[in-house]
Amino acid sequence: MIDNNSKDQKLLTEEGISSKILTIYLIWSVIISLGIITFGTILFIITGKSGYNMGNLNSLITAKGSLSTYPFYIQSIWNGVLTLKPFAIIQLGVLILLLTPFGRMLLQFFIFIYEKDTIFAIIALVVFVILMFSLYMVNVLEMLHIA
Amino acid sequence: MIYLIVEYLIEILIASILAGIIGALGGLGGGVLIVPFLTLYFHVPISLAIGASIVSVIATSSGSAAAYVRDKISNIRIGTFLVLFTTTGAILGAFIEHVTPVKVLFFIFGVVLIISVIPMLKKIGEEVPNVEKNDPLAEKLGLYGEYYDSVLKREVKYKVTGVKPGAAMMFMAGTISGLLGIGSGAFKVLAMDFAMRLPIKVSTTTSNFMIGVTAAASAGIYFFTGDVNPFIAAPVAMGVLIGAIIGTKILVRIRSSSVRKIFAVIILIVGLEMILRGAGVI
Repeated sequence: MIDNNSKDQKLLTEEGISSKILTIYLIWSVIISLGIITFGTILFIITGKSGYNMGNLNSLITAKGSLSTYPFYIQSIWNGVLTLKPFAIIQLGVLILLLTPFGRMLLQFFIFIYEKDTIFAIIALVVFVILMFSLYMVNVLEMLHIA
Repeated sequence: MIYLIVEYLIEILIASILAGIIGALGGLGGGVLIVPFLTLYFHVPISLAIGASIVSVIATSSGSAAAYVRDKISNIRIGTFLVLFTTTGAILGAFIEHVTPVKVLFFIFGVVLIISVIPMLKKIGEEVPNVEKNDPLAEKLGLYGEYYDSVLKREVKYKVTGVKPGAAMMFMAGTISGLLGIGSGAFKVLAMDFAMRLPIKVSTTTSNFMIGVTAAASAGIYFFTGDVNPFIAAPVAMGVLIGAIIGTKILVRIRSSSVRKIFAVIILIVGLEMILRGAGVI
């Protein structure tokens, strides 16, 4: 009986650690990404410049990503961030935000491994691979000229 | 000119806060109203509206998932297993979005909005369904579980059935999420409730875990095809998150059932507007 209790307690603290890690990870990803997005937006309002070609209001709200409107590739976002272009900074924040669940699945994978739950470690890894595959789909859409 | 632009930015921010509040009070994610608001009232092209919306879905679900991780009601194993299907569906959905005519998108969106109202009006789900036997697959994967119910004041053990139909419905929910840029939490809960017969508390909290991961599968596609416009996505992400936080705070203070009905009507009207836009009437 005593044995059983201590085992339960051990399980509880292990679970406690992994859920704490997940909670910290999720909260800070949201705070950091939204913080960067807010910073970029304030910079945009203060300077009145996006760092790219804005045109009028109508072209601003209908613009798809391109070299002249706003960056959407990692390299061009990073180049824009280094030169403090407001729209590039916002895109960096958005990118961090949308990659949060990718990291979350990877964390989940390590948690399952830590808990010696092999089947679910594999499932979590497969989900991560599916997420990575979604990025590859972008190339497929481009090849088909529909993106 | 810049004043006009800043004014517009603030208007989108306020509309997004409203959408976040309504979403939280109605028990739906804030995302469901973002696309209609942006397209109907701000004249944003629907693809860019969907791109901005899916980003905001990740923001709110990651924010609230952080709260749910601790409560131990959500079943991470079920969630992890089912996101296999929702993410695959979401990729398909994002693909379909890129080849679907705009009018059809409006129409589908309207229909989905109206369907999502059903769980708001009619209380679905048994607190603790009586499932006699685990599905063999659920048995093998150890999907069954238990949690402490603070209302019933006891440990609730539950079994899981209908894993295959549940997975199929999850694939559909994922496709809708990827196609329309919404969390499609209502459909995920329906799948876990109807097919797998999970206790409603487990369904709702587990669905929350799944929404963010599902959204990420299509958000990447929208982002890297240039459909996430920072001028729109920034105020939407900030606004919906702020709105969701406010909405959740209001929710604990008011009796939700009558309020829910009011918001159900709002969503119903917006849904009809989307259908009319799809039909080319407005």
